[in-house]
Amino acid sequence: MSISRQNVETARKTGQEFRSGAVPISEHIEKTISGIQKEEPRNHCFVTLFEEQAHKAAIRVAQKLRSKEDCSLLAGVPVGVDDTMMTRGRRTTCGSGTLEHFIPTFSATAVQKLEDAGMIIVGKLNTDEFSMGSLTQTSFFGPTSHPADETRVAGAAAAAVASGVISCALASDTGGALRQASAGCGVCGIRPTYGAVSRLGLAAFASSMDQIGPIASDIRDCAEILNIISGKDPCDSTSVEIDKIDLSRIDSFSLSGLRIGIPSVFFESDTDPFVKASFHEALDALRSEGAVTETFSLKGLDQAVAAYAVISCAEASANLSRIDGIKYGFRAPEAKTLSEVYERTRSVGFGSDAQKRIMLGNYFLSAERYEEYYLRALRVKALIAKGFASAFRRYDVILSPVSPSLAPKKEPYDTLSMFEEDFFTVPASLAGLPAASVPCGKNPDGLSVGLQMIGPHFSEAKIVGAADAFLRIGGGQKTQGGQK
Amino acid sequence: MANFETVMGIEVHVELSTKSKIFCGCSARFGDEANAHVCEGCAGMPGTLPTLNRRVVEYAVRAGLALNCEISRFSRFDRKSYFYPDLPASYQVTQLYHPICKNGHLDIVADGKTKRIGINRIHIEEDAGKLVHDDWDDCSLVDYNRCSVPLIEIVSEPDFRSADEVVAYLEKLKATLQYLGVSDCKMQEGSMRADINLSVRPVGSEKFGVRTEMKNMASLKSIARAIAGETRRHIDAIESGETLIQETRRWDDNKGFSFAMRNKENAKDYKYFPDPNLMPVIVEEEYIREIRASLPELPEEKKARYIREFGLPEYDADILTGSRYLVAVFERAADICKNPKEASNWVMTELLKLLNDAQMQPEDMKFSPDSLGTILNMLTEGKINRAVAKKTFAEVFESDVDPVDYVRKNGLMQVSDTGSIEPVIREVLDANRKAVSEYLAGNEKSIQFLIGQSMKALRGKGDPQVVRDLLIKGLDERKG
Ligand SMILES: [Zn+2]
Repeated sequence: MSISRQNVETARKTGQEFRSGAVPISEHIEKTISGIQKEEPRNHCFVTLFEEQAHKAAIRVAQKLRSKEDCSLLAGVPVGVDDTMMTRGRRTTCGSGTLEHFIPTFSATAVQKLEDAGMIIVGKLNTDEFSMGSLTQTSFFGPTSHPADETRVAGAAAAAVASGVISCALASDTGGALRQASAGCGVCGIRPTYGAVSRLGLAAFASSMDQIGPIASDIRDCAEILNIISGKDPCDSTSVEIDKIDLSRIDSFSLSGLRIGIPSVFFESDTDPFVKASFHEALDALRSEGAVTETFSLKGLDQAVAAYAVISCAEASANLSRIDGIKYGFRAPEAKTLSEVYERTRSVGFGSDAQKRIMLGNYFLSAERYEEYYLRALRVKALIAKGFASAFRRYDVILSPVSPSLAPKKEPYDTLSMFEEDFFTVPASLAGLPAASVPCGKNPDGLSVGLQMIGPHFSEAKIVGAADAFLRIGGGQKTQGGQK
Repeated sequence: MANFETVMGIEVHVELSTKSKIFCGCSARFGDEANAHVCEGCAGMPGTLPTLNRRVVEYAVRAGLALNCEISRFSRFDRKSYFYPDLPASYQVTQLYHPICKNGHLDIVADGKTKRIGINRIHIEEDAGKLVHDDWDDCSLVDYNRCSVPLIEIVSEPDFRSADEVVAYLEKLKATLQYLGVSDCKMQEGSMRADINLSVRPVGSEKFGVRTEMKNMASLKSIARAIAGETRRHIDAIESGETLIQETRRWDDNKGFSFAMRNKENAKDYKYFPDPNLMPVIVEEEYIREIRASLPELPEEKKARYIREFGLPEYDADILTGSRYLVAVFERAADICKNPKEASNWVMTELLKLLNDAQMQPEDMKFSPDSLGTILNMLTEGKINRAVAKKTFAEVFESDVDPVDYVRKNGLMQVSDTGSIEPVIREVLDANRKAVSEYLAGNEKSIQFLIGQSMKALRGKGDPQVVRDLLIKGLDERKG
């Protein structure tokens, strides 16, 4: 199917139609699910559909709306949830063979908040195994197809939104998966400040960087969803309270005088020419609205990918140790002794990429390597965080492309080169900063490019304002005039 | 033969007696049905996160202050990774790099000498579950009730030179932690466990010998035996020129020998790193001050006060203050009967004997704290005699009866009115003419026999003094 942003309704508009009674929720949910089922053989976005539960929820929410109960603006709106987030009583696989039949007994806080707000979870979206990757290449269930090119891969949440089967989704972002998925499919996504959204119920990959955020075709929908899921959770010690984004003030956000910083190393990198061109055109567009751009040097960025690789593998190696075949999930049936249970369960259960990262993580944390790798990576992380903090005294936002390349082909990948794809996105992850991905270009084959906007901690409102203003002026899109 | 000395350090794990576990809301109670206290968090389900039970920090700080430690203003949790079915997350949360307490000490008395034992550190960690082997089905089952129960590990300096010192330290530590109310320290239930690091060197040598660590010691007695056994093994090895290796060994108390644990155990790399799910623990001065102010009187101060205020012998004061449970019985009894010496004597003789006969620890006592005082009051008021008092106390100890009720129901009130005793005395003198004539012939000892007969006739309730007086009076009358 062709992707046309015009035929995708915003979640807010759908919610409005439910409240006004113009569209019955049940009917819309039914349409949504049959739409998904129709596209699924080609798209492969969903791991599990919650058809029955969604219908029941639709009836419940409709009842609530009729009785004028307090509901959010998005009550009744169908939403997809990345399969690394626990959904109580409903299968949650984390994209892994180890949890192929796993049914959690509790819901992630973010999921619970969506449901409390009346949003209807229609199914679970394909994901890299325990989020280890960006574009579903490592999923046990196979990769998701890019909406514009079946031979290429895509992040499932973004692909589902881009193909129009749902208007919004929750995804997770550790080193940039959410942002890269959004960029690759030409939709919007926000990775919030670390701690802004509770991680309770998100299967951990790298706990110090994992964050849940929204993906939607519309940046204001992202903001609306972020307002629903954000906030301090007593069950997540690392979560924090955050101001809600005031959507009524977005219209008045002006690009004039906006101070934009671009780390110079971002220009020097090995980036796809189309990505580069789109980025420059986006900067031109912003400057033409009065924004001021400046390049600066941010120490440690050249080591960001390495530091990210070390920290994420180290944390993942411990986080995934609980998948041991003892308590739940897959256990190698032929294992006889305890060590066989561990060895076979984990070497058969985990995909090769997960195994590589776990082994790397164990290596980095081993007593002889700890200082050389792990502590050094922490120092780089601290250096980058410090660099950002001082840069944000001069700039409102820091911009970069999201991914150095266009959506890759469905072909064997290599773990290390996959890390290189995270070049632009890991710095914000390491520093715990909020960052949005907004579409800024599409090549003649329909492959999209994203613009990353990074802000200081808790500056989500400012990022959304800048992103919205950028999209209002046509952003990078007008530069491909005449293209589909 | 060269003279050797044993050098030891001790790591003591103590389960804290908080109501709930360290990182979830599950109950930390001991002894319930397997897996009665498990949630997603302590079972290591994906997506779960720990939230620190603040009470655990408070208890650790209490212990640290009582053990004269510096309290770290900044401490942090680390993950210690290893695979075992009793560890659901496959890592234990502990404090390797920044423990909550450092550099403390505890003074002990061993072989009549006071010695200061250095405490290197105290850190907080979580306990693991328990594997239960099911012989019927020949499989192992896991009980997660103890998973995530809070522990503190108290690591001493290598300051011990004898098993006596080790036992004195453990007893003092146990008493102190019980006073603080931070743990019940029951070795047999595993809420207090000790690992001993031991090495042997020639007397006078400055260098430490090869160190082995012994685990799995379930009582103070087995610890003393393990130290003796392991010391012998080290000396034998040194003398016969064998090489000792640094390793972890398991003490088998039945066989009286330690065995090396699987080599894997010794080659483990725990891949420690800071737990990203938990914020550092920041302790304010004010908080430390508050806790310090709330500390109870500790064994040492109490002992000095008992000697000073109550005039108790040092030995008695030492034993009494050795357990907060003995202290509780003693202080309550002394308070009720206003006679600390008498109360102390009863605890030191009767209570310790009862405990010993029943093979019980003071913490296992179940009777009402008021009972001993009530008995002592009845005794001084002459309501019961000493023999009845002992019998009643044994009954109290055994089944927590109300002493006043017990004495009344069993008709044990002392008979001391001469009117009731005199006829009995007459009967006894009439019935035992042989003893009477022996007494009159100058054998004063036979009065004991007559007293016994009289008490028997009075069913034990006679006031011994009155009985004796009346007997002498009756005998004098018969001198005639
Ligand atoms: Zn629990």
